Amino acid sequence: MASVDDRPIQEGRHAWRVVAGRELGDLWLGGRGLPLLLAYTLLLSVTSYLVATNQGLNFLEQREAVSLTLQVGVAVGALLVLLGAADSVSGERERGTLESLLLSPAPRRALLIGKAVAALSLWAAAWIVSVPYVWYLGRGVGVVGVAVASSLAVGSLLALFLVGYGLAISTIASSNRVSLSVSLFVLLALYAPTQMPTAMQYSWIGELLLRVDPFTAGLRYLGKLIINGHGPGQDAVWLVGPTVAVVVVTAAALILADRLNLHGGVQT
Amino acid sequence: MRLVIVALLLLAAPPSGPVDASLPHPTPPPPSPAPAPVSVRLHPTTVSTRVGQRFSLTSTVQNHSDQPASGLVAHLNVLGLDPEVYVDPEDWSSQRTIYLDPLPARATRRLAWAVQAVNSGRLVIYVTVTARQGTDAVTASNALRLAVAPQRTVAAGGILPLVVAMPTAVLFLTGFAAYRRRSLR
Repeated sequence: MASVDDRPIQEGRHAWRVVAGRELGDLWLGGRGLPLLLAYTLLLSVTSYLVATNQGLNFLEQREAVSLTLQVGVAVGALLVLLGAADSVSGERERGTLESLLLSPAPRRALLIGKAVAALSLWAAAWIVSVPYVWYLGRGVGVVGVAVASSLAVGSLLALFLVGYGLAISTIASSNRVSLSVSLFVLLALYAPTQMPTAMQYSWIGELLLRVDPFTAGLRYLGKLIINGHGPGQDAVWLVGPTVAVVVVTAAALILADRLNLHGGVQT
Repeated sequence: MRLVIVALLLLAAPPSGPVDASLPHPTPPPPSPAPAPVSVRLHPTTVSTRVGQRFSLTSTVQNHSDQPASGLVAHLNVLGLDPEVYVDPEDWSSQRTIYLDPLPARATRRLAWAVQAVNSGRLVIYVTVTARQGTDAVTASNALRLAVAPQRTVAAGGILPLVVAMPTAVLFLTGFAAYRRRSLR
């Protein structure tokens, strides 16, 4: 039985569950969770149909088809998390509901952790929806198990990175528009190295940039597992960049959570 | 003096017979390049495969000269024999150029090429070798005759129910959530 002095600490420990429950309800029953998932499902349907029927896309072996669909699924599924996270605090701030949230007895870190859980649920739903497509495209070449497991691992890593990153930006952004635009712009900047000329990509600086970008590194790792049939540990070095990124942005989000205030910016 | 004037007039006179003013005066053909001191052979000479399959080739570069050959560059090329098929060699191999270390006199060097069949049909792969400096000669290998069978591995017919059913199911869930939201108000 908890003593009276222990109660606030225990409430603080469990407050994130209460916040997560409310956020999940808002997202999936009253919010945009299902419409986003519908758009995601449509995208996967179009991609899978084209991969299976279009002569221009269906020119390579079945592993390539699985890899293409899986990479689209993982990348867009993780981006859904960013949309959820980037809106979480700045959206409350813009709608004028942040004040009442800050007045609740829940610690501020618990508020952000609860919101992070809700945003991560978008990735969980996206991954579940992607499984039938991967199963259909990958059956017969023995890559279904690898594809499902690796997409869960890599996608979760990317989702964790994006939830931390989105929450950090959303915590300091004064408006939703700023939060979303900054989040997407930085992601676009990270994506730029993949568009470098091939010769540049083979140079040491090109290779470094590709490995530093969590998205590029994660998706390349997926491709090596599925297309080249490599073992999970053979190219694990590609996951160093995403893992470091997850640690950095999570730490940043937690530090900024303690300084969460009504008007945005960083409180010193 | 008169002879000189007559000679100048003869030189300045146009040549007899038709002249095509649009064409430049024919120039003597360039001297044929010296016999290439290197040769290149490609192995195997025939390959049958399917679209998407990877295979490897080996080319052997031989220096026939008594002098070492330096600055040699080998390049892999792919050409399609069917006019309807567009072939982009870059899709076939990520490394199509190899810069060779100096090749000693009378020595040979084997080069390995990794290739992935991207187009179906009849194709030819060959390797050329030239030097970075000092010669105009480009030595080509024998042709590797390639027959690539088309491959359509994903069963296109069965995917339609899946790509329709999944969004429909999510749409149904969205409608159900909206109905439940309204009924709770």
